Amino acid sequence: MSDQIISTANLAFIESSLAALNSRIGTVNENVQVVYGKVEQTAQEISTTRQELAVLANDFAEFVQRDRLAKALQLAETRVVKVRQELEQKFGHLDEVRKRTTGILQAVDVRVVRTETMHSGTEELMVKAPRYWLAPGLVALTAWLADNQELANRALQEALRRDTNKTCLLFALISRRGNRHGPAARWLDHYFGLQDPTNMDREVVLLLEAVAHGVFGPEGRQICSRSMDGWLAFLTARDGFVDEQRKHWAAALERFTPRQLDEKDFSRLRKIAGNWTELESSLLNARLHQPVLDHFTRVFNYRPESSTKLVTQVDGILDKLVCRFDDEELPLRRQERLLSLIIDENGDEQQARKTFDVETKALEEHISFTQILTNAAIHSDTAGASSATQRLATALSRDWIEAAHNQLTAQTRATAPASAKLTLAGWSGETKDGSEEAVLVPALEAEIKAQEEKALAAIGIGAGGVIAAIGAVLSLLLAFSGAGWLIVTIICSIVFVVKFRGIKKRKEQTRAAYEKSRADNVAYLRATLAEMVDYRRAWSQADTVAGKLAPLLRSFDPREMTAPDHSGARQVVANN
Amino acid sequence: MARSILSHPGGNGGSFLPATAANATAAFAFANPKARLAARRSAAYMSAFAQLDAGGHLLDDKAKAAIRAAIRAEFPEVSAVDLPLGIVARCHLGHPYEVHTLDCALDIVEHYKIGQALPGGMERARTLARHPSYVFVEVYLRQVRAVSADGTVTTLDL
Repeated sequence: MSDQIISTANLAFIESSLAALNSRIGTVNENVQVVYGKVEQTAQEISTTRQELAVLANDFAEFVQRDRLAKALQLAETRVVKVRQELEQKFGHLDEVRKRTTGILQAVDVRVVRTETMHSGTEELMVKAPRYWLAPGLVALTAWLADNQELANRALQEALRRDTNKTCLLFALISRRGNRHGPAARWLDHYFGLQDPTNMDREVVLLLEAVAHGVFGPEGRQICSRSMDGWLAFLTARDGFVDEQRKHWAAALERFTPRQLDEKDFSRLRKIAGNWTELESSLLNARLHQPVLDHFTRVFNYRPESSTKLVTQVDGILDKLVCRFDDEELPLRRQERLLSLIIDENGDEQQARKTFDVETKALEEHISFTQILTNAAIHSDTAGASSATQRLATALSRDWIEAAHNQLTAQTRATAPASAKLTLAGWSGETKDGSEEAVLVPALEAEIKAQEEKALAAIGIGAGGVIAAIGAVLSLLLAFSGAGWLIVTIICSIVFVVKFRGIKKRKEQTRAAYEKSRADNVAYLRATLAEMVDYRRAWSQADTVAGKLAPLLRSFDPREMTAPDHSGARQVVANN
Repeated sequence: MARSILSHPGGNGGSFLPATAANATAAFAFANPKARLAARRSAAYMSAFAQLDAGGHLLDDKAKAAIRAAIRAEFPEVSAVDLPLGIVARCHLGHPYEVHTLDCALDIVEHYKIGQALPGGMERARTLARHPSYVFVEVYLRQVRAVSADGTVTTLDL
């Protein structure tokens, strides 16, 4: 009887204790949730701080760069003024000779200046410019106009002594201007005879201009054609020459390669293809062909202008010869050009120097005939070549252009990545052309499934649960020796039950998360494979264009590149 | 009265002009083996390699002699050590065959399936050989030369 009373009292106590314990467990659980929330918040704040710091670092780097550019720009602006002043001081008189020669040539055409006026002052200029070839050339010209053969011959000798090439070319052009093709052709013959095809003067580009414009009549054209054929035969026969030309042209053509793809293109491949850099580079290299084809189509489609405009262009050739800077001036002129480029590039010296180096190569004082052709064909602006010359130079270089383009094309084809190496959600795979969906999608799903199983297997009751289970069993065995153990049994059982219920919930959550991951990643992979199909198509389309260049280049014969004769040139009139 | 333009001094005034320094542009023949290897292939040479697909694994004596004669005729001035080590070309036997090779020393034609590696440095030429723009690719010690249908040769250091 007494046992029953004690038992009833003890159960009430245990029940109340359990209720209190349950309540406390609830409180602890809530507290844990609060702490978890705080940890999350702190992690979020750290992430935000990091992002802000990155933005700040980026802003700072940009500021430093802008400051550097601004200083370089300021320095270049100051220096360019000094260089221009020095040019004016040192070589201003050469400008005067150039202006006067041009003026006399124009005055002769319109018969508005008396011979005496033209003659006066030219000898003074000769004194002012003791080394400049054009000064005695100018005296010879005015002496001839004044019918003073003795002075003309003496001045001519001096001009030839100072610069034979330029003098020959000047009088070839002046003779042609006077519609005297015989003397013009003979002057030209001498001019060509002086040229070493491996080491030519910059003025030869003017010769190309003249031939391209057909300004020397049939005699001149014959001489030009013969000389050019000879130079090319001489150069081509040299060991390694063709290789050198091919490399040279390959470097020139490579500049047509687009710099980058549109950022919106192939957005998924960019993210998950480990070899995207190679894929992008290969496509950009393949896209070189269209701009190259467009360039040469434009060059060859150029048609010489109407005769009026052409006569103006021929005058322009003479102008260029007369106005071209003298060798003495070149170092300063180059400084001025570099500084101007730095100003144009807003202080970016590196970029300016790149452009300058390319231009300088085009203005080198002594270069081979083929280099002249390359300059005229590619850097026609800086080499001072017209569209007609560019056309002729391109036609003469067509074999090397074709070889260089073939090599670039073969290089791109040989190095095209065989596949895109994909990495997605811990899975890796390869696609050659995007057609492997049937293999790759199940492989990705299998990988995600394996990950899911691993994650599910990792979900257990944990060490606490195991201890609770053991505690419950042991305390139950000991419950007969004391009532206190029963309480322990109950507590351990509760803990075990709570833990066990948590397992089920977590597993469900894990399955749901992996199911979502599977669906998302499979969709992403399918979209990526579709992009790979587009990539291969884009590459093939770009590559197909390569085959169009050779027929275009071969369709143009250098002999057809020169304009018809424009022998109806202006009469040089003597004032009597 | 029409006045004569300044006559060039070629007649009695030839002393004005210095002797032509560099008009040595006489055409001369050159025998450069490297240039020969880079030059366009002849139609006879191209046709010698056209029938490799149909020949089976071993060439008969007649085919061997024809290929040897084509190579010698194509590169008369090239020494034997500089001649191609082998040829790789697209295989027309159909799937799964991708390319075939001709080992110029052994005169053996081998057909290779997709994914099967080519021996003796010929793998370098595989990608180019598969491209429809090239009929075959010649493999050398340090280069490969891709040959187009019109005989155009493109050299790559691979």
